[in-house]
Amino acid sequence: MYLAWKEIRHSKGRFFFMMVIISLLAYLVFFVSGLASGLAKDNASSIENLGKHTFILQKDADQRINRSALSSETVSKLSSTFGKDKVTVLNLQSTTVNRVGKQQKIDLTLFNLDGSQSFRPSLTAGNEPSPQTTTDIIIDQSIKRNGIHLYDTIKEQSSGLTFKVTGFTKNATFSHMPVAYLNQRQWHLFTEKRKVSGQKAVHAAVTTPFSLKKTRQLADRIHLNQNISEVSADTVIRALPGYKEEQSSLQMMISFLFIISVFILGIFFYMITAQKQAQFGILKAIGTSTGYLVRSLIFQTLITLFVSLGFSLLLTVLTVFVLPPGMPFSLSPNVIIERLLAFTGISLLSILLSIWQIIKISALSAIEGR
Amino acid sequence: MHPILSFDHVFKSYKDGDTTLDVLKDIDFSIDKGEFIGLVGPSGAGKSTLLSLAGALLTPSQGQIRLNGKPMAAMTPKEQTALRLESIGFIFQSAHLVPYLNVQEQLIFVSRQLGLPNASAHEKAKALLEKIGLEHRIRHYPSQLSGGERQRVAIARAMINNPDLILADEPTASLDFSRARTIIQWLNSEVKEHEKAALMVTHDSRMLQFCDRVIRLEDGMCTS
Repeated sequence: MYLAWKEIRHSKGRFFFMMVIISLLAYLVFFVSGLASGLAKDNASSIENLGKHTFILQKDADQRINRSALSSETVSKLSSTFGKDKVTVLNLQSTTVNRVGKQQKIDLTLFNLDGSQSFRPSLTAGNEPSPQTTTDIIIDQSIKRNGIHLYDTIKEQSSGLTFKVTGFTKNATFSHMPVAYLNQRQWHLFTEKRKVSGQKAVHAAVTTPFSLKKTRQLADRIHLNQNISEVSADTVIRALPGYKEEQSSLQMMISFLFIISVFILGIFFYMITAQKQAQFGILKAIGTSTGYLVRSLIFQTLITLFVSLGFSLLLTVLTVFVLPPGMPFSLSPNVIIERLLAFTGISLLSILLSIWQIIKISALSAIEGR
Repeated sequence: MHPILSFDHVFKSYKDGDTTLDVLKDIDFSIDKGEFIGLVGPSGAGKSTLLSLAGALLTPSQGQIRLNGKPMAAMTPKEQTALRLESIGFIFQSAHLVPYLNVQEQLIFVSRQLGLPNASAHEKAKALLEKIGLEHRIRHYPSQLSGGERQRVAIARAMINNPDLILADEPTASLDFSRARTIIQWLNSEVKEHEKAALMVTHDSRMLQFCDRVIRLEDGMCTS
C-alpha cells in the first residue's frame, strides 16, 4: 500500500488530528463499557453466581426477587415434585448493619442458600467458617469500603444478632450492596429474632437446574395456594431495581458514540476522497486499477482506526490505575474484542460512500480536464 | 509488421437527447514505430476524444482501433487498465503529479504497479531522472518544482514503464517556448531511439516542426 502510506506520511497533520478524535471517542466507548459491566456486576453478581438456573418466584412480585415471598408450604410442594436434589431455596434480606462500637450504618444483603446445588462463595481472604457456626460469616469484599476489616464484628440491626467477619469473597453483590452468606442455623436464628408474631416464614425464590419449559410443565402439575411464576436468571437480573435503567442509558451512550464515529470517519474520508477526484482520474488514466485505489482507502481507514484504538486502550489502562478502588468498573477481554470488532465494522461501513466515489470516477476526466 | 496504433474507419457519436452528435467521422490512420505525430485542429474538433479513444478510455461507436495489432474494444475494462499501465504513456496538459509523492516516488509508484521490486524500481527511476537532468530534484515534492520541471517529471512518469505508445495532450501548454522546444525535442529523440510511437495534441504550430507527420482534425474529420 505504497500510495496510501506515502499520503499518511505526507499529510501527517490531518491524519493525526483524525486519530486524536477517534481515540477520544473510542476511549469514551471503552470507559462507558467498563462502567456498564462494572455496574451490572455491582448490581447482580450474586445472582449471576448462582448459574443459569430457572427461578421460581411469587407471581405478584413482578419478577423482582427482593419482593418475592414464597410460603414454606409452596416450597416444600415444589421440592417434593421436582426432587429434593433439584431445588435450592434462596432466602435473602436487605438490611443494615453497623460495626460493633461504631454508629455508621452499612447496607448489605443477607443470602441463605438451602439445597444440594447451593453455591459456595470462593474466598479472597480469611477462612471458611465451620458449617455449624452461629457467629462466623463471609461477606463480599466491597464492604471494606465501609471500613469493615477481617475479624471485625458487625451487628445486624433488625435482629440484634452479631457476626464476626472471618472471610471475604468477591463478585457477590446485590443491588450495589455487599452480600453476606448465612448458613442454615444463622438464617434460622435471624428469622426467629425478627419474626413479628403470626407471620409465616417466607422464602424469596426456589431455583432449579431444569429448563424454563420443563420447570413450567412440572410446576403446572402442582396445586398451590399462591400463584408462582417461572423466570430465567437473566430475567431476574434485568428486573433488579435500577438494573435496566442503568444499563439501557449506558448502552444508549455507547450506541451514540458509535454513530458519531461512523459520521466523523465517513465525512473525513468522503472529504479527502472528494479532494482527490482529479488525482484519482489521472491515476486511473495512467493504469492504476480501481481495486488498488479502493484498497488504499481501506488501508488508510484501518491504519487510522487501529492506531486510534491502540491509543485509546492505552488511555483506558492508565485510567483503570487511577480509578478509586470502590469504582464499579470492569472491562473483560471479551467486551474489548467485541468493541474492537464493532469499530472495525462501522469504519468499513462509514467509507462505503467514499468507495463508491472512487469507483465512479472516470479516467476520462483526466483528458477532459474536469 | 503491425503499426503500433491504427484507427480503422472509426466513428464516435454521443446521444444528446433525441439527436446524435457525431464527434468523429471515419477516422483512418496509423502510426508506425519511431513516428512522432502531431494532432491539430480547432477546439471542439474532437482532438481530446481521439486521444481518449487511442488510450482506451473510450470505445468507438463504429470501426476498430488496434494497439500492436490487437483490437482494444474487445478487452475488458480490467485489461484496458493493465494495457494503459504497460503499453501506453499519458502526458497531460498540466503535469498532474501526485502531490504527496516526491519526484523519485512518482516514478517508483508506477513501476511498482507493474510488480517491479522496490530496488530495481529505485534504480530505474534514478537512471531516468538523470537522463532528463532532474537528479538534483529527486526528493522534491511537486509543489517545490517549477512548471517545466513538473512537466518533465510527468513525461518521465509516462516513459518509466517503457510504453509502445505515448499520448500527449498539449504537453507544452504551460511552458515557455524555449523550454517547450527542449522537452519536445527530447521526447522526439526518445521516440526515435526506442522505436516508440507518439501522438501529440498541440495548439502551438511552432511545435509541429518536430513532428514527422501532422493530422488535422476539422469538424470530426481528418483533413490531411
